[in-house]
Amino acid sequence: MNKHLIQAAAFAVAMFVGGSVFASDNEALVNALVKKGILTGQEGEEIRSELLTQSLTSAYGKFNTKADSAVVKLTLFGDVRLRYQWENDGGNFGDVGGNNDRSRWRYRLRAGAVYEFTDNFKSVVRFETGGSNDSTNTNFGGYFDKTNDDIYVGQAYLEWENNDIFDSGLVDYANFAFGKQNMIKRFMMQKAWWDGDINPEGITAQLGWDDIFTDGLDFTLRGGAFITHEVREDRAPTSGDSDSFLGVYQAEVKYSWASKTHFAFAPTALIEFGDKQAQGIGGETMENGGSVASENESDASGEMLVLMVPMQFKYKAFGFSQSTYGTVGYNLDAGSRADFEMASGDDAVANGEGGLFFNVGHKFGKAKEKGTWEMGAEYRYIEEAAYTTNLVDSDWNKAERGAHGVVVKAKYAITDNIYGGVAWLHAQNLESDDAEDPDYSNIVQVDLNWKF
Amino acid sequence: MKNILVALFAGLAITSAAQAEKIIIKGSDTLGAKLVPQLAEAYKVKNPGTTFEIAAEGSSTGIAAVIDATADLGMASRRAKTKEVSKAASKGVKMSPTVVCYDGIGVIANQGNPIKTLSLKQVEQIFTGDVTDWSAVGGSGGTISIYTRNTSSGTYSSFKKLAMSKRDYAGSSQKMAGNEQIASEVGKNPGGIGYVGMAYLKAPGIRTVPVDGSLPTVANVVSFKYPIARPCFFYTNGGPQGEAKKFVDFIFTPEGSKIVNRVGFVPAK
Repeated sequence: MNKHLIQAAAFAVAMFVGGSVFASDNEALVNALVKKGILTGQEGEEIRSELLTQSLTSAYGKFNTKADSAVVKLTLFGDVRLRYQWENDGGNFGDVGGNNDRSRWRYRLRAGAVYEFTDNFKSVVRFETGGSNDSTNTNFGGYFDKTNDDIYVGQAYLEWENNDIFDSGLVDYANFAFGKQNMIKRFMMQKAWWDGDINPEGITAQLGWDDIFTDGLDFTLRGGAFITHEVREDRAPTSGDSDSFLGVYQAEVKYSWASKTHFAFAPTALIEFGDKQAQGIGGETMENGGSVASENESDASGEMLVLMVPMQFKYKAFGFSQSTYGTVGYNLDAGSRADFEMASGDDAVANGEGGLFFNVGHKFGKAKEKGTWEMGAEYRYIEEAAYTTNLVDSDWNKAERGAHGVVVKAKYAITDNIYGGVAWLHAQNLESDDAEDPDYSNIVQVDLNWKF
Repeated sequence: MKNILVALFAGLAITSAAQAEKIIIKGSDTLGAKLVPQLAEAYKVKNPGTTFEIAAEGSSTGIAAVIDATADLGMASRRAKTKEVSKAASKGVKMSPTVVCYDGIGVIANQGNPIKTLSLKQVEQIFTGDVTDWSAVGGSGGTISIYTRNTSSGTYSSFKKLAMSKRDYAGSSQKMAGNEQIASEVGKNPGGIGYVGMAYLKAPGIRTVPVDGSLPTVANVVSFKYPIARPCFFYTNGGPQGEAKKFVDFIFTPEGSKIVNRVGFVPAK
């Protein structure tokens, strides 16, 4: 049979079937034709190769973009999460009438696309609910109104990635990204110390080297410069107000000695640059209103020079993937922060103390395919002048410092793309006899999440 | 007279050297360890001016070499992945496959292992680590030691796709550089299991385990009866050309097919 006629028929079938099952349907059709002897093996391979090349270089069947000559691959992604959340704390968190219980139903939507261009460039755009910097949740209620159901830009960045730079042979991996980008997957950072919903705005760079000194030993340098506050130079300046930045600098060492087994640690520095009053750490001056802005205590000092070391040991045991992880860190500017807060009237922090934070946890399993589980438990500790409330997990202790506690989570894959999960986040104040701070905080979350 | 003869022979030598062709072939260990070197030797007998440079470090290296234009032919015991074809397209390279032979991937156990047969599902369970003792699959008991290829191997990828439903290998599996190394380790370990191409099934100390009641023979591969079989390729940029094309054409001659058969593969034509 004429190879071109068959190729045209296969492509026509694929267009009706749709882009998402394009490859698998064609493969089955060609396999069947080869098995029946209608096509030779060589003809089958040529057709497969031609169709794959066409699907990569064409405008994905019915899809067209203005830059479709440069777009070699388009991937759509998204997820929706329904959440029941119950909160309880044993003190004053500003709740009216001293009622410290709250329960609510919430949801979030995230949807976006990955555009892969020629020459190793890629762009990601993601829209999401929730206007806060550290939350994508929005609440049910309002008699079904849509006034709180706005969609925002969560991520919009351009990325360049390759296994070399200009064929120089100097590196084994290079990645540069510019824009509003993800953080957790880009740096080795645990969610306790960088809320997973926070997408910083700026530029990042990564350079990596594989198998240095011995097989399996990899080294990666990462740097990020993010804008936290932008001053209007065309307006009369506020005294002491200036552009502010957050710098994140990391050097990761990772040793892998078997499949899905590795140990990694990554000394990291987080440094805030710019005028401390303008950095918006705290409810008074935060420009865009982080979700915990109203919960933050007087945290406008902006003094942060944090050194931290995230670590992870990943392995397989008893048939499950296992991960033991933790971070230890210290704010070298804790003394300055403590001085500022004492001057502001918050004498909870003694001079020069309170800069330590750490967490340690274990997770086993991976809820990915239908019927699989994952569970984990983590202990967290953060002193009063350590780190910043603007970046920590906004669910644990409502991002407040000066506490310790646990996070226990479980997740189950109902199908390959629908998941159920439950989490308990508990925190206890380090100084529980402080009348102004709550003694404890409990949050329970029950989730139903599906991806598309 | 003597001077004339010397000049004549020198001229012939210079002419031959000027016409000498070099074919650079990189990629699959399955093809590059035995088959392609033997084909190259036979081709050189007919084409004395041709030299070969053969490097067999895994299918991924062969495909990458075609993309980077550092090889004339890229040997692969698996199809090029979407990501590789995409990268090739972004560099203006058209990945063109030529099927040079077919190969059944045989599941091997130690010669002393009494296991009679395995179903394809049991093969998946063993290599993913769901089953860790021979008694669970009808054997005489003992811990199963898994030997696989490393991640740059096309056989590693093909086996994962054809026999493991694309699931990940068990964390306890031991990675070997080539078919001969797997055969060697399984031959020494009474609890060992691994997989090799058909050309390596006669290694000492091992036996081939039927899968779904079928052995990887030429007849079973040709009739699609054996479930773990795959085509093996030469990849080129837009189709073989020049001396490389002549070498590929030679593989499909009766002499080339005889060599393919003798080494233990199934001729493509």
